[in-house]
Amino acid sequence: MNITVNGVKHDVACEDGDRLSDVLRGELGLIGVRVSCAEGECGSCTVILNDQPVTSCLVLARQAEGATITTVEGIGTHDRLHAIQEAFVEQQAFQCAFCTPGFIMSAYAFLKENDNPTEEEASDAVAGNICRCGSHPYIVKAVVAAAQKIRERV
Amino acid sequence: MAVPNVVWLSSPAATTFPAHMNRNFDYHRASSPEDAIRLKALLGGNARFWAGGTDLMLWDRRKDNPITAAIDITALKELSGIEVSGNRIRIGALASLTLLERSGHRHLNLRVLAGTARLMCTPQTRTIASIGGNVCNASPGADLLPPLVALGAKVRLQGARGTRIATLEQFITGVGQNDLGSDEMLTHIEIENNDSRSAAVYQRVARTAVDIALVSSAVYLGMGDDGKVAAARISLGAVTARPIRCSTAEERLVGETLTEGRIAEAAQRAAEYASPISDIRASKEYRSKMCAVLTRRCIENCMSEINRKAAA
Repeated sequence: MNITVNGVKHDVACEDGDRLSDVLRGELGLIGVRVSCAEGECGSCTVILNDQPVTSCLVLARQAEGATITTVEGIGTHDRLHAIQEAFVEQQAFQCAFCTPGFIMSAYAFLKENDNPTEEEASDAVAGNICRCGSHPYIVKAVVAAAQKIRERV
Repeated sequence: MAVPNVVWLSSPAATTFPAHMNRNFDYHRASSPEDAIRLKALLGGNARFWAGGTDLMLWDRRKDNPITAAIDITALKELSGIEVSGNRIRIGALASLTLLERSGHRHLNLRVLAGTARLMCTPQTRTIASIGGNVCNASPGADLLPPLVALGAKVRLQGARGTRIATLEQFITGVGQNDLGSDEMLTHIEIENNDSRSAAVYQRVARTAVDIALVSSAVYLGMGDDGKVAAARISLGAVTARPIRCSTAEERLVGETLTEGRIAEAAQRAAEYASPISDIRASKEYRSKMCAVLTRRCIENCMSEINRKAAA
């Protein structure tokens, strides 16, 4: 099966019943795709599939055949973080950080549509992600701060 | 800016789910509605049309009735999109909750569906979940069913031997049960394009933003030129096994001028249609009481929406 992940085309093997999250983690080693609840509640496994954020635990891998996918590994590097990643670090928008990639990918999809959100809009945008450490207020601040960084970078 | 040192995992360990969570079925991608219907009849067993899969992906817990094949219908352009034409609105079965959520400005009757979609699951699951799936899955708690019934929605079912149309109340026959034949598929949901003095409102009680409804109510009201109610449709959610119309409550409103007393009476009559259950989330007494409260609020909100429109 062919999929393009983070700009690179891959030919991966998968079973018909596999979840997209299984393939991204197991076959491609993209462990930034976190799987916590595996039933679409927690948002940890959020990736961008053909320009839309999706919970990859609920998508059949085979459905993503020929699709373009972006995971957290594809938006920034250690040396050059994405504006959202920078903002998360600066605002200390995590404690254990298990949920962070999911939050970042939700924010990534959201900020492409709204580059100047209010705190309320930013909060709504990450309503599908759960942080058990309770970092939500910091996460919302980080999303707003990231929006400003993105506006300034352009 | 200075980036703090982060320890990166050099060789990520491949992690897979334990065997009991793997789904054992064959995958097929349909190229047309006809192809999908042919595959469904051919594969037999518990072959299922697969759109967003947000319900079916969790089906593996029902070990007694495993899915034997997934027929992916997401490539069928005929089933996507929302079309507002002369006398009707036609919603493709594949229309995602996100599309629904963003189509409220296109028509009065789409507004209530947009508001309802926004209450459902999470932003990143709404992008994949479809209206057709929500309808066919036939959960008593499905948020879209009460507003669709209140809007008088009909389903278009394409089969090997032609197409038929049914109301939602006819189509959904019980908890998780629908009237879909083994060689039929739901292709569209149709609602009237009546731009008269009307409004539709959905109200629900749920614990959290991403919860399903504990109890819900939806009301459609159409007003005549004489200021009396010309049409009323009332439906409840999560307290009936399948979608129903609360006809005696509707009858209390039609042909009448709305007063506080009449609204309360209709709301009370609507609550009589509820056969709520007690579970970990709410007691049946609470659910029953809330039926009347939510229905009253729906009627009141319909009225203020209609008045606001008239004043504008």
